Amino acid sequence: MTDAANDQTGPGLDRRAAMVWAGALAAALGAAHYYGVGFGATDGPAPPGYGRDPDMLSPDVPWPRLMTERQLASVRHIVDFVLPREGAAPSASELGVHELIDEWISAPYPEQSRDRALIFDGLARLDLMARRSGTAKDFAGAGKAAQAAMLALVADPASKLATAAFWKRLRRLVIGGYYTTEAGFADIGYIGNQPLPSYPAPTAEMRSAMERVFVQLGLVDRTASGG
Amino acid sequence: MAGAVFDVLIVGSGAGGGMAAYELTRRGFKVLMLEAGRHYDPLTETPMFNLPSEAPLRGEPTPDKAFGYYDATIDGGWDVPGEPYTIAEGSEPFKWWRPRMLGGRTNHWARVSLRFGPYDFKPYSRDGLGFDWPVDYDEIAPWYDKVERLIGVCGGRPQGLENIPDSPAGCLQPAPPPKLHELLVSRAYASMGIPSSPVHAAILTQQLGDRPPCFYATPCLRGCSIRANFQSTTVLLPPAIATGNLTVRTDAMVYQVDLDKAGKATGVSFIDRKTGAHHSARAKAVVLSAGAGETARILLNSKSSQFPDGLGNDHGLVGRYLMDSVGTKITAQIPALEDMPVTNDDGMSVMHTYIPWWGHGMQARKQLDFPRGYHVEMQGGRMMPSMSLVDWLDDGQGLNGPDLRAMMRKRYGSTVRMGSRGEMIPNDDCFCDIDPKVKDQWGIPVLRFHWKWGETETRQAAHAITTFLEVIDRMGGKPVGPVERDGRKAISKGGEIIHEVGTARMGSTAKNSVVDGFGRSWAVKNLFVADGAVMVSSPDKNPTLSILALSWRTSAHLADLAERGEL
Repeated sequence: MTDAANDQTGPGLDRRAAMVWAGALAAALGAAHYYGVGFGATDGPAPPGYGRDPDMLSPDVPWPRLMTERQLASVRHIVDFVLPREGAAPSASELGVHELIDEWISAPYPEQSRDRALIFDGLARLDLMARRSGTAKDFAGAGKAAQAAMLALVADPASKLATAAFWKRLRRLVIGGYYTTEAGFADIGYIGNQPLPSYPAPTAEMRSAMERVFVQLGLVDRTASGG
Repeated sequence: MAGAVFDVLIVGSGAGGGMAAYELTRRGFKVLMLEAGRHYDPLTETPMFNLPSEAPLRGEPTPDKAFGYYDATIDGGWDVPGEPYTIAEGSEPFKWWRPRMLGGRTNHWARVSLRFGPYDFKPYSRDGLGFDWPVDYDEIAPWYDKVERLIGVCGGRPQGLENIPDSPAGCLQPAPPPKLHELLVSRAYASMGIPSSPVHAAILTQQLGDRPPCFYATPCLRGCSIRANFQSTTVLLPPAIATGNLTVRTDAMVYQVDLDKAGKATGVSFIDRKTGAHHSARAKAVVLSAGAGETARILLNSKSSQFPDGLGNDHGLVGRYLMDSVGTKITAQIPALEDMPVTNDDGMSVMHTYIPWWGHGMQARKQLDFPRGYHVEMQGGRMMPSMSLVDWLDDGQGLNGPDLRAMMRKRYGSTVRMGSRGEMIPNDDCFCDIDPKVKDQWGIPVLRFHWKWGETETRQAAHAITTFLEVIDRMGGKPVGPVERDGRKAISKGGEIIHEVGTARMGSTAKNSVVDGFGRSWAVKNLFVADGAVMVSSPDKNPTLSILALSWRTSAHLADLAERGEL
């Protein structure tokens, strides 16, 4: 799960080093020649979707996955940047969220096809940025700290970089992919999808918590039947 | 089936057709039911409890499954491959949801089951707009009673609200307790003097016959393999089949009512969707329950020397006065809900509490700039996470790592979505006719829709949004995402709420309607319409319960006429 073997720059990345990365990124964003990177897999006729009457009890994903190994490796690092392991909560890659992203961007539907273009574009920019830094061939091959520095720039919500749309979309897919797993349910506090003998009324504790909210918000019942 | 003459032929197997089959087979009539879609068995096909992570793309909507992978809709959606419809030039958008499956849309509806009220049957008499039905509430009420007892509707005790009929004792099952977030939403409305009510839903909270009650898990839109909610396929068709009087033929796409020289219906013509072969089926009476759109299409395509413009269309009324419900929606994040105890908010999957229309008095006093009302539906709390979860929860800070995880945990369960479902007044700009050029894959001319919301609807939509914003503010919350206050932009697209009704309306004379007050065609005495097409108005109340009540009444009337030899 760790990438210590790939760690080329070491854990300590100072401000000056980050500036180098920032410069490399800016150069990558301005590069005109980068379009040629990583788009071959999307050529050819689109495969079929799952159709209007798929087997809902035993679902199957009929389309082939399109990411290269290096792209998938990049996404694997990225999903754990968004949601790393924390205590008992597994990391996104432990839940296979990077595999979901590959499945997602490979799907032959309009929304997913748009995401494919956006995400391949963003991954290519990250690769170029890593190359420009002179320490790695691509993003996946960069050291952990270097990757973290690059992602910190790309993920900055104030970023005006051309990767902003890429990041916003990919982050959304990572979060969605994480919390739609059973581990994600447990982490966020979804306790449904369990048969119950009856639907429980709010407990006295819940009702008093809600009464406190009513008082705080000044919500007085003004209906004819109200108090 | 070949050569046989049935007593009654029913086109469609959803709420209207299923109900007709239930009544007629139990009265001893030999019935043939033709369904355009494939056979479907909820007992063996429903993905109960299946997780998002087991489905492609986590079950998110795609063009193949527009309401998500696990939605019960089969072979359909907003478009059906090979079976197009068109939108007239200059029209506002219109969307038409069609499945191709036994039981039709009863397999995946929300199960909200509100009776139309006394005002709803006589809207013209009240405010001079729209049209009156040829029947009143008291006439239909006993049929609502019967339907509620048969299919199982929960809703609890009488509320005594204006134009929101309470059911007689013994009709409704108990309402489940409210979901936690509903307490806050209800109180916010109550602080504006607006009462809330347990929703009426076609979901069992107690055993009914051999059907067990809901176990408050797994969404109703997938269907229900334990038969705890109402689907034609679990509640109406099994007892009809058990009589031995029902023959069901699926993959049978009806396109025409056949007539004899005397002008009586002899049956229908249909296409086998698997082979493309044309067939005809014969019966002594025909019931059209194909849904408002498809029923109108069949009538309009049934052209003959006697009916050159389509069957029953002498006065140009078939396809006219197409209606849908007015819909709006808004999502809000409510900090006050962030620190609430962890609850299981699945419940019946539909809300347990709703806000009935409260403005009849204000409208009577001319205090509102729109004449008809809406009710408020809601969902929220700790819903099963989906890929779009973060759209509701994200605080816009772009957090990652532990900060993101903490934010998600804190805000999960604190969002509420409210939506309006409102009455639309029928207008001359909303109708369907036959497209003069486009045909489906079998060469059958397709429907062309014409749509234009009236100001009576767009102003209502604006009022709903304004009300929602006030309620959100009272809850101390903020809307999620941009808010559209202009009713013309906030309003749903025509057909989008999937309550399309009113293309073959009932009335008091052959000049003002397509069918009489019992759903019997004025033009062809042994032809009946038993679906949403007969509706004269489209109140805010969701139409399925009324389709069931009207179809049952129509079918009983048909049976009475047949028994008396008056068909």
